[in-house]
Amino acid sequence: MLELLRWNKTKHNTKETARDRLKNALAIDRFDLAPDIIEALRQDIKNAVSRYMVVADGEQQLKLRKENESIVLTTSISITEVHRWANTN
Amino acid sequence: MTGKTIVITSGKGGVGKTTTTANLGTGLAMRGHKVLIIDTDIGLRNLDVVMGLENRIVYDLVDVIEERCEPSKAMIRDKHKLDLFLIPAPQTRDKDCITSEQLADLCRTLEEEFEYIIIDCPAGIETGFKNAISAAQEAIIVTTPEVSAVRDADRVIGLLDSAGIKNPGLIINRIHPDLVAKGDMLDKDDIVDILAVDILGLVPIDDKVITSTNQGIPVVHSKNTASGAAFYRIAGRIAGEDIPLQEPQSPSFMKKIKALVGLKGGEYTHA
Repeated sequence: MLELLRWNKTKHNTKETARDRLKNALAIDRFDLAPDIIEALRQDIKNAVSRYMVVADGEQQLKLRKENESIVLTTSISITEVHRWANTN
Repeated sequence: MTGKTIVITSGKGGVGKTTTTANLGTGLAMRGHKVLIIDTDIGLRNLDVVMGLENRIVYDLVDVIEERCEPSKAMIRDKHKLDLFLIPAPQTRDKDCITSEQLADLCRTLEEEFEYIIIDCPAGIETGFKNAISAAQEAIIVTTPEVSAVRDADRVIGLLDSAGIKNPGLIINRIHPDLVAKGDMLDKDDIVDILAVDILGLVPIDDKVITSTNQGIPVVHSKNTASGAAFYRIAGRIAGEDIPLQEPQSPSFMKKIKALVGLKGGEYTHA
């Protein structure tokens, strides 16, 4: 029994914990994008949606948040009208 | 001569940035290069005491920038190396009293005279940091194998990248070889994997850093100490020499080896 406890102790590496916690923290840190990158992404999404729908003027929300093990991008865009055909030009 | 300016930075304070700057500057001078070290930690200068030059300060960096003296007047020649100079930071001004353009202009001028200009950057990522990095062509990041220091190093790598300084060299300072061996400290591979930068050097934890700093003599002067040898090798790599990376060994292991070859290791000597 004592042997087993000792075995358990040597098996436990705090560096594994450190590495996992660090990777997790950095994943979130690195998603803290620069404002100009956020703006460019927002504009690109708006342009893509505009080919199919008429986008209303006003605030377009764009957020990155952590959900369980992954990072989720959410955006909300107000639409006034849907095109009958995709406007690809 | 067209030298280059290298900034030593870390984000987090207390990881050994100033010690590293003093040792790499000294190490480069020991290897025969002409070196100028600039302390940009305005208001919190420390390189002077670490290098044992605190009693020789007359003019400082801001005196040069504000043209109260020629750059050469503010340069303090090292006690041991003829080709090593320090421009100290002022102690009584604040970080906003110089601009990045002024510091960059000064470095461009002094690059004609020196092979290496090493800038000691203040901790943090505010004005002082921005000034220091904008004057440099290359960067060295100092971190320790701790989550907080590595996280801040990651932030700094991102900021350097945005400022146009790609591929900084990473120095991992204060490595405890026994903890690494036990799996209780982040090792070189973990940190390189996380930060995705080139490794420039590994420096073991060493009491000699403290005792040599007490005396105002950078530890690199004693090449028989573990940390001194590590800094000397890193200085060689900065100068483009092909020196393989050495993983720090625990002192007990070193003692055994030294006992085996009949050396009395770890004694402090002036080189």
